[in-house]
Amino acid sequence: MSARGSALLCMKTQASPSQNSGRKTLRMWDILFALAVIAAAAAAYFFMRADESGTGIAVVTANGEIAAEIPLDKDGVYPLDFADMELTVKDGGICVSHSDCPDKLCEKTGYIHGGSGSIVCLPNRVSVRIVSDEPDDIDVVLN
Amino acid sequence: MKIDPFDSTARYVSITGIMLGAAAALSAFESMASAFLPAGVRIGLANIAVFAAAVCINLPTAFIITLLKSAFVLLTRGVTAGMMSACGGIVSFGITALLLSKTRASYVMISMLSAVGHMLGQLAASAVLMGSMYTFYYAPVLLIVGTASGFFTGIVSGKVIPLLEKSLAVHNRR
Repeated sequence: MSARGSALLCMKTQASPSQNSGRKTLRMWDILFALAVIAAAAAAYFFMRADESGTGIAVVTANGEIAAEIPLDKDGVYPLDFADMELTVKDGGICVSHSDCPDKLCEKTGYIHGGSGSIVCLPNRVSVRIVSDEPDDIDVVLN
Repeated sequence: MKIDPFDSTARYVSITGIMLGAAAALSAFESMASAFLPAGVRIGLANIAVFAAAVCINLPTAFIITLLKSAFVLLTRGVTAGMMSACGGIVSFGITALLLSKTRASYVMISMLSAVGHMLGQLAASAVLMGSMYTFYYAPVLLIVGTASGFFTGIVSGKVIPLLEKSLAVHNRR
């Protein structure tokens, strides 16, 4: 490490072979860890899926506030007036059929059905998720 | 032999520039490749360049590359993508820096945890942007994707880093 080098951004070199050459690329433990995480995440995914079922209402939020509610029992095309987007309802599922956003992730998500997640369009700050229209959404009724 | 790219400012700047160029190119390639992948899935190829910089140069340089890479994304893919890239990159860098300096975790382990951290950082950023927590519905999917992609980039890093160390060491000898 020369004086000129240490003057530059006051950095110390990180790498020396004594520090990194002993570092392994892969250990047995890594594979077990990866499999455990994937299994846990897959279990969580199916648990969350099973959590909600049946047809319901698609709740569209914009900037975190509920902007529209669309019933899923009837097929149709719904253009949104607060964003240049269009939602299509078909067979109890809903998808973003058109969006002006650059990455089109919301369109690529495709149809969602009851409990199978949500559609998010980050550039437009719009999300779509399905809630059950059955009264069991109420936890407690107080008299 | 000690790898010291700092014995000359010109060498430091050029090596850092090459690593940034690699990160930007991998990032651009990845955004093209992701057109063929399901929504939200990313391979995290650019992490290889940042990770190699963290190991072969030093941590502050890797952090600078992370920030400049996000600036590149900001210029090429817009404000939202740039913000997401920065949030993911900073969390991912923090995890890499911690594991690299404090533990003897393997490349694959560091890579997996930093990829998962990248995704969770992006999820948190998107939750703030959207003003809702529903984006966390994606968390299990992203955990699987992050672990798998981190495993892959860890293996690649394990192949790339020794080569890079060797070529830096060769230059140091001259």
